[in-house]
Amino acid sequence: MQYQTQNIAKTYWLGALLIFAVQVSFGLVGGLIYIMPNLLPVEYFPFNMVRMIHTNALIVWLLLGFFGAAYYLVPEESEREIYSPKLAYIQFAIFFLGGLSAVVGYLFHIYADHARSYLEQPLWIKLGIIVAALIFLFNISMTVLQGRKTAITNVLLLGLWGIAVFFLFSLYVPHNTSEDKMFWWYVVHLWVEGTWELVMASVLAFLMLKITGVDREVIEKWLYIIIATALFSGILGTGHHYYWIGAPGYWQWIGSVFSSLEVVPFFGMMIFCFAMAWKGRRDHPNKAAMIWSLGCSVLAFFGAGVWGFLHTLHGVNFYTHGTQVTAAHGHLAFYGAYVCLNLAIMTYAFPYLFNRAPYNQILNIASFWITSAGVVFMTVSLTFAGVLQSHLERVQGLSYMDAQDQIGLFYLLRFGGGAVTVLGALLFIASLLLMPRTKTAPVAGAVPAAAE
Amino acid sequence: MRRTFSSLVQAFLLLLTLSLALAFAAEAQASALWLAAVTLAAALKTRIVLARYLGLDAAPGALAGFFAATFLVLALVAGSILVFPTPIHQARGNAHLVATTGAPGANE
Amino acid sequence: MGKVDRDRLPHHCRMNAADTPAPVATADSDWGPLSALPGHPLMWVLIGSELAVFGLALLGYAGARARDPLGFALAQDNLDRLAGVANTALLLASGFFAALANRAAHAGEAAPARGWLAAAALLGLGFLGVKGFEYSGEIAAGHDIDSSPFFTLYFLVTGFHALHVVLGLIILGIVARLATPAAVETGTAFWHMVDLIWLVVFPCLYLMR
Repeated sequence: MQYQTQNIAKTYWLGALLIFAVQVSFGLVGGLIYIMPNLLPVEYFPFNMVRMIHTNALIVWLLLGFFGAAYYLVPEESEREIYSPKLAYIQFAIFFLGGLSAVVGYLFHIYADHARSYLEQPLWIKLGIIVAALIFLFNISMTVLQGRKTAITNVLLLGLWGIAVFFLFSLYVPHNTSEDKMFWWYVVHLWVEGTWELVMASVLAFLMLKITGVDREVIEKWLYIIIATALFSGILGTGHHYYWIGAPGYWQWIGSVFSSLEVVPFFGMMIFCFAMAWKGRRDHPNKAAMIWSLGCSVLAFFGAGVWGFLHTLHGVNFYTHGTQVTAAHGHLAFYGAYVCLNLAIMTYAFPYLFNRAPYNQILNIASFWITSAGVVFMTVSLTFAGVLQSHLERVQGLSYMDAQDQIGLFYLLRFGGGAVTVLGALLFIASLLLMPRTKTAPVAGAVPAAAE
Repeated sequence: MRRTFSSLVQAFLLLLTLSLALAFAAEAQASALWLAAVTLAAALKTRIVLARYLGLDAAPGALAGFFAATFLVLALVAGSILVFPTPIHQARGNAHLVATTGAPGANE
Repeated sequence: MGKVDRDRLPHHCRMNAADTPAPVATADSDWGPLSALPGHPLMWVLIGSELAVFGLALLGYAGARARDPLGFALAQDNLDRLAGVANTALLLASGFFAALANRAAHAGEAAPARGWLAAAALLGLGFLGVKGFEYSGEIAAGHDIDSSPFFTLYFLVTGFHALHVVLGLIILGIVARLATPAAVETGTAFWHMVDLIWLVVFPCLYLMR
């Protein structure tokens, strides 16, 4: 670790890991309710509440992870300490307590009842999130502005500012349901298929720079091409959420055409990571971080790119809209693109933050394969469930619940995949907290000067 | 990359000729021959713009790639019309209807 | 600490903030295959993306038409083919002027380059005028973006193209101010792309039937 203030990331990431555990646990509970609806007392575990915690906790911990990533990589990139560590900890307190109290509030049925997934937080928590975001942006922007400006920090800042700006749409809740949905997607779509992709690309670029040692020049060019295609396809790609929600029909074409191209930046990121790994030196000791990074790019390509394309054309979506196909896509896309990204940067940075330089990575690498296998299995199960559901409901005309009865087997399989995922997630957390040292002790004084 | 004045003039005149030729033929009856003529003329024009205006004759690989893409689109659209032809008799029968009401057969 | 010292350390001791290997010298620290193209490489990424978008939209057009050839043919008959041909000629001439501007800029002649760019932009405005005339006639005849599948696609594709003409005019204005070879090369590349797209869109929507 070259800069003291990179330590701030520690706090953020530990908070993120805690909420990660909560998120996957509630996912498992949700999966259980699908197959045994009456096992848990419904007054304490109503499905809507369990789902809300699962999805909201996901967003909260991913954002905490992004904040951590920014606090970790901005000092190294800008070549200076974070502008104000104090503000960073205040921001953490506001955001973490806000997120936590939202989740606890859900347990007691306190939430904004707008039927807007991910945005169920009461208004005062939303305002808290905005205050925290402002503090964060001020702090990071000041650091970047005063220091060295690189393509990585520029793209990261653009992404982070975008996240904050688009969140403002969550405050506007139109009465008209169609309009309500349109504004809701301004947050949700323009986050995960726009601004978050910028964060993803810049963090991956940072990881590739550090792990492979390929020239910054080369990496920056890839980064520019990736974000150009991401923004080009992603912004108007919002149209693919406007099918059958009361928006004008031409959105079907805008959505189909542009969102078909959303696979391009994800393909680009995958090729980028593998090209860098191939071209670069392969002697970086942190193999686990490399595996998470490559895994991130591959699973994001399949989850976000391929599984997204599966149902993005309006002719197909006419049948699959709101079925388990969406759930399959959602799980692999979030996992591949954003969960793996966070776990990759954590895996890369934790040994430095905790001064555990040489550590045994076997547990961490195992957790990658176990978690990923679990999520992929879930995705495949849900895809089968969704295809069958589309056929039964939308082609044969069965009622919703009759169709559900027919696809129960796949929910059982999904639960199995979910259990493996939770196991993998807990192993990952354990691997970072324990970080067992390798048997040989490090040579004293072997602290090379900062490279690059 | 050398784009001489005469090569640009040549390109422009060729493009213009092709366009005007099509304009005079625009009222031609729809047929496979007509589709082929439109497709080839349009493809030739895109190739000239790519090679001369955009200067891709300096990068043959890129020229081939971009030209293949535009040609493919033109050929697929024309091909789809051959495969799903307009039922001419019905079109003629309805032509007066269109002229009087101004409303084409809308169907969603 | 130099590379040699670092390599002498036991492997596990090298894991440190400075683990980043010394930058690998790469011969192609340029833009790879994009380097061969005239103008800024990112402009070519944009050109490729635009071609993909219009290409997909036209394939969508072919697909939608296949489901209703008669409806499409009847709707298509309402288009003003002559106006379309006129617009093609305008854009081709405009592209010619833009190419001359590029040539002048490369010869270091900023003033003639600006003149050609202005001429190109003027014809671009002419294109928009003709397009507006067409639109107003079509709208007056009761066709709009929601009136039929053909007109939905027609207005989307040509409207989106017209937006690019507007954007192209702005870009021509910017590069005319700079008038450097690199800027004019990149700006006119965008303009030629707008031209190119029209050469694909026009026959598909107006002529093929």
